[in-house]
Amino acid sequence: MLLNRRVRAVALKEIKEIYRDKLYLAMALVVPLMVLILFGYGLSLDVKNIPFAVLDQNRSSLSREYIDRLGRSHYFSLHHYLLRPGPIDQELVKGSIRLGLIIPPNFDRQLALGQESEVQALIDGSFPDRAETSRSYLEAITLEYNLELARRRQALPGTRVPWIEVQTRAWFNSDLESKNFIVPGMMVTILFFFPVLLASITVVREKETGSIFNIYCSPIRRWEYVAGKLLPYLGLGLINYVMIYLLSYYLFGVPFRGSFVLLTVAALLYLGVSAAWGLLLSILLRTQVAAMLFAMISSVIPAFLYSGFFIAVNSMGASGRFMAAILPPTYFMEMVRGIYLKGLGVQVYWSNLLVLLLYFISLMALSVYFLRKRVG
Amino acid sequence: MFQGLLALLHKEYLQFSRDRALVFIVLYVFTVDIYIAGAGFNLEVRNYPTAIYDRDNTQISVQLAEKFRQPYFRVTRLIYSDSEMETLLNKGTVSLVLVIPHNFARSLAEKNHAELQVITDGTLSNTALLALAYAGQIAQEFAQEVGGRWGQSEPGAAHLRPQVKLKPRIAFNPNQKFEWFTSLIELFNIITVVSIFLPAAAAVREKEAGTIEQLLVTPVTPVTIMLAKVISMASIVLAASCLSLFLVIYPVFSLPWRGNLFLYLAATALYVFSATGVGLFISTVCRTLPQTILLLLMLLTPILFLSGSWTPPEAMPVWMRLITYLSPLKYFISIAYGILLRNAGLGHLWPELAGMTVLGLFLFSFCAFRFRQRFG
Repeated sequence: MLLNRRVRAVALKEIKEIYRDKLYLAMALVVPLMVLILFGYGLSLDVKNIPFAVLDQNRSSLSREYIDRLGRSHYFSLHHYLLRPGPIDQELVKGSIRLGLIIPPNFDRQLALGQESEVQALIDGSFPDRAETSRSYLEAITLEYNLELARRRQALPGTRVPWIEVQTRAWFNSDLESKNFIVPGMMVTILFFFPVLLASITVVREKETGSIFNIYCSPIRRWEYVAGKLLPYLGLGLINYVMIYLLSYYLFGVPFRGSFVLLTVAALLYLGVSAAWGLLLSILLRTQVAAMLFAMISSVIPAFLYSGFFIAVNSMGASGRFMAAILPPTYFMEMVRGIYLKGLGVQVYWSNLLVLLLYFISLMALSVYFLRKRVG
Repeated sequence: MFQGLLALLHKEYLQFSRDRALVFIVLYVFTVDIYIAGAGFNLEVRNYPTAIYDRDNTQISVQLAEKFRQPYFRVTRLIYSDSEMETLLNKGTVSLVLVIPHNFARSLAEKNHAELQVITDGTLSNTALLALAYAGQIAQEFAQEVGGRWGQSEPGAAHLRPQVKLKPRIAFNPNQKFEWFTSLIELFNIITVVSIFLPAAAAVREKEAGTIEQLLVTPVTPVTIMLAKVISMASIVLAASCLSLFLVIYPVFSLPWRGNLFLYLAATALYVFSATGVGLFISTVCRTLPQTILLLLMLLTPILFLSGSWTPPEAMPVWMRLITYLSPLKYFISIAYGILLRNAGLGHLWPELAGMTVLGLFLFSFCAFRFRQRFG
């Protein structure tokens, strides 16, 4: 019933059009994977090898030990030693180093006396997330060094220095590898962005070329036209989904702990939401150029900023949490992460599935509603 | 030729302004979109949802637990069993659990040394890493405080604690304003997207509608047709980028007035022209707008991605770092950032400026050559 002759005819025409345009078809299949591979390998928010310079006014074995600890960690790499304090600012402006350290002249003496010694750190703040990460790595290495100092001091007779050791454990992603959250996250982004974009052109294109009039004067019903237009993009999205899944597993080695069936059901619903949103845009707008730009904007920001891709929704501010709650990618993101890394099942996520289904139905209803309005 | 150019320019502006939806979108991306990116995106760890599992329940352990507070941590739960911890982490209600083991206070008092466990949800590895670093810092500060108290009750050298104290200072952006960074990066990205997309779309549209044939039989040369598209679209992008700089970024995000604005605008103009060259290249390859959008994405993703605004170049593998030199956006970001945030002048920036000019000239002349070949 849902797949009657007219729906099949529209879908078949659309599939033929996609299939005959070989360049388009190739790109529609390859570009999403290219994006995935580029991000999966290259998007590392981990800060590594930050070049730094040191002005060591102490030049003792202790100060060298401290500098060594920084340089040997893979977070920082020693660019060079400085002789005067002036050049640090200059080099930060030039961008050749991102961190400058100034070690005071009496560094070793203060430490030997059991005092505090102040090391100045000048961090390039033009990329704030990097500055924040650099600072926390710097603090962490200094902290370890301080623990070592406390331990040595403790070994001296007659001293009592308290120290607390923190044992850390990360669940679900024990090595804290960023690919384990970026690759599943990219599945959410790609399966939103591309279906929206590709579907957004389909109806508006017929309007520009005038072939939409064939539809207007044919006996096809509105919902049949919308359904027929949706199906090929759902299929294209499904191919993308399977390829992303395979790559995430075989190429990136992301652990998959949950049920593939559940993920596929969720992905189908989600793809339906994406393609339906693209279709709605296509029905509302008048030119292909406008539709494409609108599709890009309306899919990148929700999928990257508010879906919880980089920062958990529950640590966002109130407005961020509100935006996250009304945008569909958030619901799929929760499921993808939960299924991939935590191995959770349908009993946790049935409400997410329901939300996606509601989105799908309302977007389709809106598309059908607005389609005929444009005739007159 | 000049008269022909003027007439064509008039035509391009007219065509652009007639597409209301397109004008709206261009205005939107340069104002509201930049505002959203600036206000909404934040990679800092703030209000990290935390639960405390205090198995010691002594005065000391309660004091320690109290140190986990805002801005970094937001304690939402006190938990009393392992299973509760598991459910909360599974559901993502909390992202960090501080476990204070039994005998924490006794061990600290008797052995001068105690252990803490910090368990995080590792799904979002970047924020988890930062949160772990903060937790370590808090524990260290607490140990120091305890030592200080011991020192007060029994003065002498026994409790002195040698330590390196970091005095970090963030240069150029001392209050770590993320909105400066995110809004500017968004502006640069949008300049790139729009100045590649608009001319590509404008040229391909003529192909689709067949009007390019009409233009080619007029006395204007293909180069004039190309120049008209480049100049009109580049000037629109430039005007819109000024709008967003003076209407959104300076007033709303209170970016300080630093740097030479003329230098910035000149660099932007140069950049926009080289980017429109890429757009024209796309138009020589594609026949239809759907193809255009996919090829655009294929070229755009690496350009945006390799610019260093997502991933610091130091953290990339070497081969990828070498390819970044091919992304014109990389040069533009260093230049624009250098001017607007670090007040760098020509003296500092000439290598990047030279790089961008050479790359831009190369791109532009290559594309002009292809355009002439294709359309001439």
